[in-house]
Amino acid sequence: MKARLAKYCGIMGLAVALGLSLPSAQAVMIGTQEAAATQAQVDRAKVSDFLNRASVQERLLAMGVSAPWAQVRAQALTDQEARLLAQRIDSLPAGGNLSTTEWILVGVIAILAAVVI
Amino acid sequence: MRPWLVLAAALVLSACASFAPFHRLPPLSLGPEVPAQARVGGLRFIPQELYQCGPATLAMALAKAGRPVPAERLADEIYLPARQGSLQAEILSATRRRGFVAYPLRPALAAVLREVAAGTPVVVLQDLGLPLLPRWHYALAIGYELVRDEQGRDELLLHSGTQPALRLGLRAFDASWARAGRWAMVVAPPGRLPATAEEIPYVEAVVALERNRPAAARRAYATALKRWPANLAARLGLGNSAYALGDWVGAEAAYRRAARDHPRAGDAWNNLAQLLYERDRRAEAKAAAQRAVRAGGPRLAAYRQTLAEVQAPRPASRR
Repeated sequence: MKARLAKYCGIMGLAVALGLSLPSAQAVMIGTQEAAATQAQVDRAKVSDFLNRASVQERLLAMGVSAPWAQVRAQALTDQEARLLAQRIDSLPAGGNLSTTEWILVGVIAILAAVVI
Repeated sequence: MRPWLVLAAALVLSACASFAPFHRLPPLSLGPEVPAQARVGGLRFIPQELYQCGPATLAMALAKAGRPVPAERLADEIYLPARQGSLQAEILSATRRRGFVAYPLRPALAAVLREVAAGTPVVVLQDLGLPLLPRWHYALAIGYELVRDEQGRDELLLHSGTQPALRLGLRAFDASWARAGRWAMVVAPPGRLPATAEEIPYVEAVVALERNRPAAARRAYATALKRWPANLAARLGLGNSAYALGDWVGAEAAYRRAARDHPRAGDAWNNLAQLLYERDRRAEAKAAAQRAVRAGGPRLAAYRQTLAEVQAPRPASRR
């Protein structure tokens, strides 16, 4: 009945608000992500999705992101993205750009390299 | 400062070229429909703040897609202070949070050019550093000119950092792009397929959107199904996103169509059973759950649970 669904959605909403993901012990709907993934991916995701997201949130906070944004950003990732960031947030490419000083430094190195070669 | 940047860029790129003297462009397999030159119109240049090429680049791409967002605001969402930059995953997720499909392109220059030719600017990641000293940088590909002569003076135009419409030789660009894994993405409105959209990666990108933006995902699933009506994941996603939005009628229609087109799709039967059960249509729910169990597959346990649920005696009182 409607009340049951409303309750389930309420729980989901609460879980999202708390930054948790509800484990799907109570099989209700098969999510699209779950349906599209291989069984191995699903098993792995079920075990670690919650931990990954919590870990990413913690790392974002430690890396200078404000607390509310750290939570929003961790929640916005897909399970795969959360897993990737949980493992490699320190080493993944971070597109920034060079400051002017760095540009000059790189330029000098390039000239030196060109001279040496 | 600007002449310095140009000089430095030229030096860096020539240096990179000298480190990889045998770099050859892969053959460009552009269809006949791709013109020799193109330029995306209606694009306002947003210069980047220090280290914030990610927010500036994404702000331009979003503005072109119809959703102007200040770069400073995007910085809250994608800038990572300790890394002095932005991660690809967060560029994708910030795009989705705005209700757009974040579609990663196939790692080929032809894909970038085809999108540009279709009027869509492309977010690209380059590595402008030296070997062992990577310097990742986001820029927006906005145009190109293919001269197709012996010297290969083909050029790509980029809104890059503080430089509007920076011209880079296609070969030099490809070298810097290759070092960053040839990563590129477009911001796609949910009602329009990207020019280079392919079935499986596009549906995957929409599944990622469904997590936080079911309404946009629903439109994008419908868009995908117009081109690929037999895609089961998109059909199931259409049902699931309708369900998440409280549209039982739409959800039921999508699940029924999925079950009709894919009789072995237990997921479609299972979700249909669950929906019917919640609408108090017990007999139909039971029939659907039985079809799910008969279909079997890796989620058989879940289907059995659904069947048990719909067959259980009605609780005496239900709020």
